[in-house]
Amino acid sequence: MSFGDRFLENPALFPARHSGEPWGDRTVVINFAGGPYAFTQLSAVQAAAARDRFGDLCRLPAEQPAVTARVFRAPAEDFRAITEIPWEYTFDMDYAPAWVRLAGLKFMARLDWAPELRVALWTPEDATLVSHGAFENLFRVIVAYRLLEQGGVLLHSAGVARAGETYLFCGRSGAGKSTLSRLSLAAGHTVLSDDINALGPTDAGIMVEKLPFAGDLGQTAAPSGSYPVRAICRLEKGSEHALQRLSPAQAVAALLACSPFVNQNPYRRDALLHTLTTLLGTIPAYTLKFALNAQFWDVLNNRCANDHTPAYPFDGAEKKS
Amino acid sequence: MTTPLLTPSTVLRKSLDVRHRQIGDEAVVIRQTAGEVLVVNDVGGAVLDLLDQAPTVQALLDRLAGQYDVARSVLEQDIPIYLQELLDAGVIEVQSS
Repeated sequence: MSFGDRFLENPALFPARHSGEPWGDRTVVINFAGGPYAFTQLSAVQAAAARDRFGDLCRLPAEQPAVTARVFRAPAEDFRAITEIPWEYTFDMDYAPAWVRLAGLKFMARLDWAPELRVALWTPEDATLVSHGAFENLFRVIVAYRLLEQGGVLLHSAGVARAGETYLFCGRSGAGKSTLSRLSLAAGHTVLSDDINALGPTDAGIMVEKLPFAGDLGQTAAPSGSYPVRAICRLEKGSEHALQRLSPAQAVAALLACSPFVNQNPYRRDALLHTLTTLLGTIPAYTLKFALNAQFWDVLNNRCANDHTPAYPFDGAEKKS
Repeated sequence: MTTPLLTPSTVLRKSLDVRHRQIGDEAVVIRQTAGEVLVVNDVGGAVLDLLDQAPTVQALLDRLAGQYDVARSVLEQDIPIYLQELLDAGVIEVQSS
């Protein structure tokens, strides 16, 4: 199938420019890693739903945004009638050096670099724009690209802060991130997100930033902000807990596999590899075999206590092809 | 998976959607279309590096024999098996038999 075939009645008519009929005149500015992010031309209903969803992260529209996403009306007839909406689905993405196109359930969007990132969203959804997921699906993609621009990365991971140090447990759906997060919460630790976290450079070093995106666990009570990263663990289910250091290539591959959206874009591959090797130049990385109980913290305590050797010990550019 | 039998004259190439990067003594291999990321050992990285200049199995063996301090007979036994694994993983493909 070609781009958009699953979701659009006529993919050939996908908008080539950021133009159309605005939904309204409301703006919502949301600030966290890589932001502030401004969504403009929203209807009153859409804006209220976005403010309700993102709460304290919303800022006054006067704040200068890092990225602006304009929202346009699209006729419902432009989209395929899909009656059974799966809980999780993948939307279509299409790439060029200067743009990314997205098509999903009741939305199409494009990200353009000219040279700064600009975003446009077309949707027939008014009251359900946020609750049906189109808004957040696009938002995650925007954040992934924005973080990459800043030398950071969005990671499919559970983020757990404990005694001032944060561990990222990377893995795709089913790897045990939510189970590990629940066990960590029960043990009194701080869970940032059980699904997706930001990792990137700050003035204080490489930090994990809590994002307003969560998986099965839902939003946690952890305060927004940055947390110092201690180690990254690739999560694998096992019959007993075990921790093993990853080789440099294994560490890069683990993060590459868990960097959603940008890791599928051939035009961003070199930038992503550069970012990952830079980040791993300061952080230890392991494989954690996880036996679905809280004793894994004992293994981490024993093994990580004196290990600060970064996963990627090289300082030169690696050969590519 | 069924794959063609490799002969010394079989011409191989890196799959069109595959990119790789040598990191330390391993290589990260990205299969863009499949959305897969693999790690191969130094021989795998060397094979991917050499395929552009030495695309036949015979030429690969000649080049690898110059790079590794291993008996030719060992290479002739092991490399076709490894190439078959790379074929099965979709990392390389047969251009012509």
